[in-house]
Amino acid sequence: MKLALAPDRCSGCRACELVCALDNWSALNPKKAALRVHGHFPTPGRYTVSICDQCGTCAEVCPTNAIQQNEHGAWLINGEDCIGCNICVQECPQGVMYLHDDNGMVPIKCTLCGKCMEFCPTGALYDADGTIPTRR
Amino acid sequence: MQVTVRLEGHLREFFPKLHEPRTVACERPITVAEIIEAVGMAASLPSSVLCNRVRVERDHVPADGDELVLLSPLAGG
Amino acid sequence: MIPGYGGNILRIDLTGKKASASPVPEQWKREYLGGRGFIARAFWDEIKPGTDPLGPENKVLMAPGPYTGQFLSSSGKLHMGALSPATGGYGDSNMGGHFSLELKQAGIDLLILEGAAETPVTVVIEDGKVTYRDASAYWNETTFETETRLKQELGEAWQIMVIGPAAANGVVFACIQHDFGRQAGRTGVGTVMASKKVKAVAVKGTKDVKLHDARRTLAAGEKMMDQVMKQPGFTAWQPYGTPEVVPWASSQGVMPTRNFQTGVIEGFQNLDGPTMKAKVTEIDKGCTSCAIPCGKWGKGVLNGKEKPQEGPEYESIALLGSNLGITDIQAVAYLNGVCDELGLDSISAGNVVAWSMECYEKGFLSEEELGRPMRFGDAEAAVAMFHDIAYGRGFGRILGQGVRAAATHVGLGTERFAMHVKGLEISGYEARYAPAMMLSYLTCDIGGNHSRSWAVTFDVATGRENFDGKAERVIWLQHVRPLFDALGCCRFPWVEAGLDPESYVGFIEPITGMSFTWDELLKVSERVWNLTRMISCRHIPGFGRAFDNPPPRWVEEGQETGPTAGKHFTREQVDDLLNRYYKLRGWTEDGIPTPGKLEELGLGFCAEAACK
Repeated sequence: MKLALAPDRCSGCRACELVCALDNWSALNPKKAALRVHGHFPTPGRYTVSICDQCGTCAEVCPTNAIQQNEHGAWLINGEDCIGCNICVQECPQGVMYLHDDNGMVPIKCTLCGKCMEFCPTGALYDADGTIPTRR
Repeated sequence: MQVTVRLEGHLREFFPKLHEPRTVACERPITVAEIIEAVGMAASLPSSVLCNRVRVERDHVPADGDELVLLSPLAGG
Repeated sequence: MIPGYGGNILRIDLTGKKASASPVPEQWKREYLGGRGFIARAFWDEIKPGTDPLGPENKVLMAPGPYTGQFLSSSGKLHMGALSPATGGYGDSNMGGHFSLELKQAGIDLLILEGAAETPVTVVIEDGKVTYRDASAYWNETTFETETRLKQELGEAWQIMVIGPAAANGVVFACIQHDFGRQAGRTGVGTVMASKKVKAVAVKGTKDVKLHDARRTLAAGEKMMDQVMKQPGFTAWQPYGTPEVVPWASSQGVMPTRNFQTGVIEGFQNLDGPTMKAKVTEIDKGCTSCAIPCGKWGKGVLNGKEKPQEGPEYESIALLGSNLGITDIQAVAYLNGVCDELGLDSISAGNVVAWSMECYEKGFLSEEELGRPMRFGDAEAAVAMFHDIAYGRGFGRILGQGVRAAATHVGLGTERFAMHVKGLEISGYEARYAPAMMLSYLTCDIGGNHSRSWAVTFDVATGRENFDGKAERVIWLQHVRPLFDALGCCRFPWVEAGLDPESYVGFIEPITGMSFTWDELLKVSERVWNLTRMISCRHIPGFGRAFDNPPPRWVEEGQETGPTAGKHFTREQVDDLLNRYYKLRGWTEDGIPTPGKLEELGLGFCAEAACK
């Protein structure tokens, strides 16, 4: 499973943000999603999406090795080891690690759960490995 | 030959007898318009007709085993 | 506390710049659900008889619902209400986009704007905390300019609603715009916002919306998203959105053409979905969680000038296209963009300008009076008139008071073809020989609008001359369609993609913990319907049957052309339709809910206001 992006297809519906937060945090709260849709209107009149490509920069800069890669290729934060230094949030090249008051010091990060790819109605988010069928 | 006819949207409410897909049998190939009338509906009532999921005009002649979907006019935001 | 909601009523007094929050009564959630239900309930308590629609005592009410922002297809709806400056009665409007969820995440289920600021302000709401910014410098700016400015000032993540120059200059059909093209268009809610000197409202919310059972909410949402995207109606309709229906509407003679003189237009093919997709649409633009989405973003073009805009959707194509005698989709898109940036409701604007064109062509108004020749088909003349309306110049100032007031001003029999009900301009369906659709317009609680009941297909399917079953159908639709406005989501997955409306019942318990059957949900809708009727009773002197009348054109002349050419119903036949409707509703012969009916619906508190 590899999260990939075709931004020209994005309609800005943010179903990805909603399902991400709902699946990972059991919350209706797109502010807790690990990706973001950005509108650019009225010009150029397009959407862009910031996604985690599991580049591992967060793990490289983490001073306590709290971020480890699992068997699916996702870098996951171990909350017990995280000291809340925020370096990963600042250094994330895609800007897709987030802090939220409810979560204390531990940042929110993509777990590669696949929900956004599964439910993106336009195929803007898709699985480059093809294990999850693209909607359109 | 046989063509299956399926209704979508409000049309299903207006024609409860056609709630389940209906098979129309005919001896010769006939047009979409004739098939719609054969199930008891004015040919102009559906807003669009799909034949095997592709939009077709009323004068299209389906082949044996094709599926027609009659779409209700979908509007009224 | 019942989950699924933001939790609070936020009251903002613009006069004293004071904000206060209080919990939404739990009973309201059970009896009114949210959205339109909360608007109607709060309207009764908050807006007193004798209120001037443009005075500080009127209020702008805004409410998301329990389904707003949920991971179910198309949940971005926000309902708004105010005493309407267009009709003098109950007014509301509904808007998509992303504002509604943001408001809910700021902890707000009902926002009340009351009083009036001395100088223009932008209201900024961050997680329930309210601040004010001076908006004097951009009070007369276009909607696009102000939304762009505020996105730059506050940040892209903020959700913003704005009014345009039309509202600032007192046009009674001014909208509130959000997300560069989503409009709360009808009944002049934007005009009321302007009377409070509020140029914009910006909101940011970061809180969780509590859910009764998040796992089952997710499962229900996954199932629905999947179902919507697999509907045959979805695959056929999705690429085009509402313009898909243009050829059908014209072939059935229901597409308003040249101020409703007829219902078919030559060249309708140039306004249909595929043409729009080829010539206007660049990308889809969706509301919150919408798998469909009907929103299409692209460029309008008129004589070489380009205008980025969202749409046009069917109603705008009907009122700015065929009703103005224009069959160039790029020009219609351009006009739509002009209306959006000026903050004009494209339905009312198209309607009043069509009336002015008929007045010109028939010699009731001259070039000098109008400022230019106003001929059907002249898009440049329409653009110029929209600007005159929005900035209160010349005859535009008269048109900006709505078609009823303009026709009263001109007289000479032009009232006969002023196409409104209750003072609200009729939207995109020519209904003189479609009894269920006509009844839908006559009894719609805000005036001549299609949103509460849309019954053209029913008329065509069951016989246009036939009255039987029509009132029943209209009442059913008036309960089902506005139910979505109370829940805070969009009805397109049902009306456009063909999803079973009863499937929406399955979300209420996982989200809120409340259990409702389908019939119980419809009962809420009936309660709200009777309440909005009582609100108009309370505010409009002499309100009753006389306000449910069609424009004379619909009962005095047939269409010029098309499948129902020459045909129309008589006043007596329309009275027969209304009689059947009132009886089924349990209303008096004058169309007033009886005290017994109000008691049955738990509305005893408004029985004393029954019209005299």
